[in-house]
Amino acid sequence: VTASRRLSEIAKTIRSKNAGVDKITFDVIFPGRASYERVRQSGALSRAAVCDILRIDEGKSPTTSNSTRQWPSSSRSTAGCQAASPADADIFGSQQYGPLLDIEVPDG
Amino acid sequence: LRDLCSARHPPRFPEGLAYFYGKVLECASFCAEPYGGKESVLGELTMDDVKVTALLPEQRYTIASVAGHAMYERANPFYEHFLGGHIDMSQCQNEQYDERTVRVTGPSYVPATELRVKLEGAGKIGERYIGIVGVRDPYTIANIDLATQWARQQVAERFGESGYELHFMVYGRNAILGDREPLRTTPAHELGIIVQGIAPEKAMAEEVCMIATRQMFYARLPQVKGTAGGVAFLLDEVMPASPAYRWTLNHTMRLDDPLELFPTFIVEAGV
Repeated sequence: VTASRRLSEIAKTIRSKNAGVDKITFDVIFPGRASYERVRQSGALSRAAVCDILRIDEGKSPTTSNSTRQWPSSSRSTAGCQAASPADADIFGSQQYGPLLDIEVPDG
Repeated sequence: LRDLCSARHPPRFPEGLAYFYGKVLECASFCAEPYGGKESVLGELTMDDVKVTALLPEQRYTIASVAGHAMYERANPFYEHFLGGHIDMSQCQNEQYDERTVRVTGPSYVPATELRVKLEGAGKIGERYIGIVGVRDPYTIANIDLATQWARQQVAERFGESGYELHFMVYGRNAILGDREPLRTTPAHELGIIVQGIAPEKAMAEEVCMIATRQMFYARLPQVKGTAGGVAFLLDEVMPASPAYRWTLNHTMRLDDPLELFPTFIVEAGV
């Protein structure tokens, strides 16, 4: 049995916010390089993993980026609908990070 | 120093540092820890670096809070585009200068080959009313889509299939995440549904919303034990909300003169 911890127990900040008309940015900020590297190498926040968790077509997720210098990790995805249109019940995109909290990161 | 400050040679701070300085200070304590929004901060810009200090005793700027701010609300954390070029933050170095101060070096300014401003626009869809519906019956909760389909059908019988919009936001199931909600198949023990009726005129929007909201009450679901009303109403009415809009324009526009869209005036007042 491999032990694991939830991302919410490891990261310092996990958040989401509108980043344009039809984009939401997901930012994960770590307390230090060690935890950042561990999560990055685990693949728990890989493009494919995040697309799977957020149930979005991988082809529609424009970018993911990592900044090793400062230990954040940022993933962006297209939103399901235009920001602030009537079908959008989160007009600032600020509660979209919920599913990321419970991502299991294997201890490595 | 005298030479730098003379009128013939005014000091000229590096554009990358100056812009980065403005970007961080604009958000003040929002990029501090713990984050706030209205507490004062102090910035210092030199020829070599930017230093930002949180002033409230309980707040600090940290490497994580300042570096993290570069990602905030943007599709790419490394580049920020604006009229005249962009700032490249990919080589930024942050260091904890003292307990509450972060020192930043390395942002650079890259001039654009042409002047472009962002152009955004929204168009009105229509007037909007909203209704609030509560559900506690477990069978209705498990089959809430049947109830909203019923309500939608009643509106269609009155107004047809088009010429209006009707949205049901099911709080307690997936209103916020929609199809991305991993727990959408296990809704809460009670649901709150916001019904949005949108139409060109207020009277029609109100009626669309009223029919849809009220018909949730009468939705016929075969196995529901209760027969005296299928939902719980906080109010037996619907409420006017702000008109509904959607994005219609998301472009950039080329300019010859960077100030042509931004006229400035000097007015003397109170003298």
